[in-house]
Amino acid sequence: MTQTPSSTSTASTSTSSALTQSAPSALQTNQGRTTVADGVVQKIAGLAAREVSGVYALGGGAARAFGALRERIPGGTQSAGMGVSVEVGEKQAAVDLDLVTDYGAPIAEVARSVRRNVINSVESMTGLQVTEVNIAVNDVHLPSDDEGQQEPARVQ
Amino acid sequence: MSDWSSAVAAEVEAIAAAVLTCPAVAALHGGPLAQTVTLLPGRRIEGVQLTEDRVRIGVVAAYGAPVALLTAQVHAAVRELVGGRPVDVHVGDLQLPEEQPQALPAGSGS
Repeated sequence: MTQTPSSTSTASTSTSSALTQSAPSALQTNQGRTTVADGVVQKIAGLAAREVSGVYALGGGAARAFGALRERIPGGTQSAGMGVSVEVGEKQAAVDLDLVTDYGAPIAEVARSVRRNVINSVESMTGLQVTEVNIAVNDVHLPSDDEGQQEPARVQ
Repeated sequence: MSDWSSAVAAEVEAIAAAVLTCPAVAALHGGPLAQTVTLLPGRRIEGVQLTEDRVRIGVVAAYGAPVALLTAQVHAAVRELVGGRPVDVHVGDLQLPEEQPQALPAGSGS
């Protein structure tokens, strides 16, 4: 008796949410649910974006200024999730990235590679479907930006 | 009272120990606001919570292990301890290779 109404109700939900049902997720099973915290997706996306050549750094101006400050504090590290904000649901995730590209790297191509790498990494490691990766390029790192720091004083 | 709490403590400790044997698990994790926790007289065990009909487990994933693999390992490790209850796994954090165990307790800031 009780089986029949429950099976009809699942049938109706599967038709109403056909989009989410069409891609069955490994995260929801009869043996229990699996949930992934925002911070996990943030770290994976941050590392994946940083790997791509042409990406100089992640984060906007303010975030990078705080990151530089944090690095100077003993025991402080630059956070892997800097410049990355995510929204994570039960089956899907969306990622927003702020990044700085190297001068000379074609930005459209960098963005395409970053998007591909982030989607690959997050989907393979978490099983979440990535719905979108929004990329904001905040700055271009010029080779001359390094000169003041890298070269020691010309006369000693 | 002590019978009840010691029985629960033994069960929770067995589950926590089994979860920590999984190679994909770096540590147990209390989840957001440390909600996944078992409170016992005089101590607390973070990352494992038992109710009558579900088991909740919070973990920190080791870097490089896909969540699906981690979940499979956790389910396999605790299957015989949970008596057929569904096991909800929450991946609360990811341990990066360059990250040392944190010097300051997490969650005090965020």
